Amino acid sequence: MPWWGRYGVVLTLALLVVVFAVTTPNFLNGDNFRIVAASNSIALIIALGALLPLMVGEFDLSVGATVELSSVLVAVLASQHGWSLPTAALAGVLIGTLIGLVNGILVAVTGMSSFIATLAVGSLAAGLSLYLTDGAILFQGIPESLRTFAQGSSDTVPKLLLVAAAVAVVLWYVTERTPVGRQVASIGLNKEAAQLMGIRTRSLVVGAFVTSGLLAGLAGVLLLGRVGSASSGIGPTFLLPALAAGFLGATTIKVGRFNVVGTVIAVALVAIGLNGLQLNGAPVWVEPVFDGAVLAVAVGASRLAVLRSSR
Amino acid sequence: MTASTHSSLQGGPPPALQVDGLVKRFGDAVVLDGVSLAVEAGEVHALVGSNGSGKSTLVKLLTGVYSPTAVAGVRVGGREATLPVSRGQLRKLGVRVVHQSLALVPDLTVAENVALGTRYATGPLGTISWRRSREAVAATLDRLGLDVRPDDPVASLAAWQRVGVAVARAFHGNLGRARLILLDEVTAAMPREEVARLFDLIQRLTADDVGVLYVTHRFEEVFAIAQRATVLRDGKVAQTTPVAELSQATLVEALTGAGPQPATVRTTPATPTVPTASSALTSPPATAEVALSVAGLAARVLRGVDLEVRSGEIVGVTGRAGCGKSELGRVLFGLQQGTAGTVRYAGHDGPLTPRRLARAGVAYVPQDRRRQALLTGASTRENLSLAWLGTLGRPWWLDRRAEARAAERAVRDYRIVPGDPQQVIDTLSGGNQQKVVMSRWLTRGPRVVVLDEPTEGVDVPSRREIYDFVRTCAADGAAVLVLSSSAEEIVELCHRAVVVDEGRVVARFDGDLDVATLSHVTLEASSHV
Repeated sequence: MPWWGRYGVVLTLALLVVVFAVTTPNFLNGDNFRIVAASNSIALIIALGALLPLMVGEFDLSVGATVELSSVLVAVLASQHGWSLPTAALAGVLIGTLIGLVNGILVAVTGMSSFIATLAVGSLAAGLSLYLTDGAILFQGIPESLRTFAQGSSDTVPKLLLVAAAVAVVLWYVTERTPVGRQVASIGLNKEAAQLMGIRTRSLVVGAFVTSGLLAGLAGVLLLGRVGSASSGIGPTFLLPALAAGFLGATTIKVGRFNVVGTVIAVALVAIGLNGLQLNGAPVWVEPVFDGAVLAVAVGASRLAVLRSSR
Repeated sequence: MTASTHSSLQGGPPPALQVDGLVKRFGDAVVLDGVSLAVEAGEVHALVGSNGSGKSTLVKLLTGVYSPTAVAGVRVGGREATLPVSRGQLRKLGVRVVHQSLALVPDLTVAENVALGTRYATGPLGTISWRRSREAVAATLDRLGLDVRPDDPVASLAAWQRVGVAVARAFHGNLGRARLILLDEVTAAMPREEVARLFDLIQRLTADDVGVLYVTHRFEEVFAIAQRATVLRDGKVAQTTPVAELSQATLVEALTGAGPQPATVRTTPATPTVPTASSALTSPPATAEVALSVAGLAARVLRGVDLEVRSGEIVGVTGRAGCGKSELGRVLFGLQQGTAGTVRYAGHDGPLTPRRLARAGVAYVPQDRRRQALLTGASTRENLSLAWLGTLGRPWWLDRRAEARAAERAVRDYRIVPGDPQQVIDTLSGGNQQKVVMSRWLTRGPRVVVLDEPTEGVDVPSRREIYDFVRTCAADGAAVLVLSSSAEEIVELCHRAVVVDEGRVVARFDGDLDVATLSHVTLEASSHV
């Protein structure tokens, strides 16, 4: 593996920071940093959740719909049923966990393809949130404390970033520094071999989906606070960036393996690149184009690097 | 005798294939050591050899999968060729290859499958002309005397007909003159009664001076189809002989390197003629605990197997491919359910699942290393420590120093090369990969060990080392069951052995094992069915 294969993403990130720092006046200042950090923390939490199913060799295509359902559910419970913020927020996290459990059972116990299972469950969740909102945007009665927590003030480190950082540290520790993390990785590398070594592959696959659902549920609660409203139909915009970050992250640090640090760097790369372009007046359509281009170029280049080194 | 001295008669067509001095090394392991081989035009030439003889490496070299370490010369139909060859070059040279897997698409018709290999006949607009495709395919099938319709789905055909379709595809279309067809273990999954029909088809191939290189592990086929046979042993040509001058006994002898065998096999406990390791094995006392007992076990192939393995004992189970020995291993480790009978492990109750058995001290090394045992893309250290995760540190903290130390110790104790545990497992030789797979279990001090073809694709020096590890493990009190199609392996490694055929135990050997007898019984069992 040539060095540019292993550190390509990191170097691109550094290059972007340098270029924008030089060319773009408002890039290197505290306010811009806070905005970028706060608006990408939720994406990072979702990406970290979706990473675990990827690590065991499965896909979770329901994360977007789960985020949406959690945010809608919390809004409805708090505004229309008078639930207190902690109980409503807990319900949001639990609905995500439940969706993850259903995904996990469908995949690990029935042996369904995770592609199909999570697509189906995601559609169910999206339908449920449409039922709850009835197509309306819910913006009244969103708990004020949730909004202040998620939106933060202008002179401190955004709380959302702290939450995302905590999630990243915990996941990094579990995947890199515990026996269970190694077992999870072994399932992704060779499920049959892991099973033959006496590893409880089913439970761990279920666990990966449950964690993914839980974090998507948490992200939904935070999203409600940050946006200040909930509506159905926003889910799909969260899915591709989350999976893309996982794949992009697998091209760096531990090349060829899904990993937490790589995913964090990937989210940062996309966030900073996009922010720099927008500060330079890029129109709104640039965002999905940038996402797609970075993913295709980075993963493609990394494949080439692997091919070159294995010849 | 080298193949080159066996060159064609003067004035006759040049040999379909002539290879001289082919050498292949993987790292330090010499897998092929100067192999020479000539297939005459119009001849069926059998290539036989046991596991690890270099047979499959030779096939991979001839089909361009591997590059040779050295080669003196290769000629196809008299034309100079260089190795490695690409698929396109192979075709141009006139070499056709049909592998065991056949690479047919079961859901497509015969015509579609045949056309896939070459090109569909097209109409004036470049669209597929199904009528012309069918006609062209029908002509090819006709030439081979293969009585199937172009519209038959391949899934509906008998096994021999499927091989025929794969052969037809190899010969179909405008590929130029065919010189050599390489048939690689194509009868491995074929009922015996169908083999004869396939042989008629193969005979027809030789009509146009096409040479056939027929790779097989079934001895009886050598006598049924081939004019000459080349026997590979330990990477060298043991002999190349006209089949008319061969008997089953001399063939077994050539394969195993053993001396002449006794005339009446079953009644005479033959004296071992090869230096076996049996002398080095200390037999366990007959009073040792029965660690594993199997009674009346039936499954898909198995039809009532009884077997006992005592602590400290190494018991071999042999038989040809598909006899049920691999299935026995899978049932013993809970990967497949038995339909009748019992499996009992001393000190383990409850259902048989890999997880429970692994915890109870049962180790299982599967046959398919790549698919079922290796974490490809991960390091040697990770591959090893997978078996020790429960003992390294705490559930919430992996002691990576202890892991590194344990991996280094295993690499040293089990002589794994290269000795750097950080090396990616894919870059290790087959023998060293197998040592990794074995050692991760053996370091756990298992009480029962089930090994399915423990030295398949393993070079000779590594094989010796693996045998040592297994012996040590048994001496430490483990009950070992070795499932192997190699008689040499069973004899070298085991105290006792059983021969299985069609799911039944057909012979038992309690001590006094020798290669010739065991091969002969295995062979007889399979040709008597």
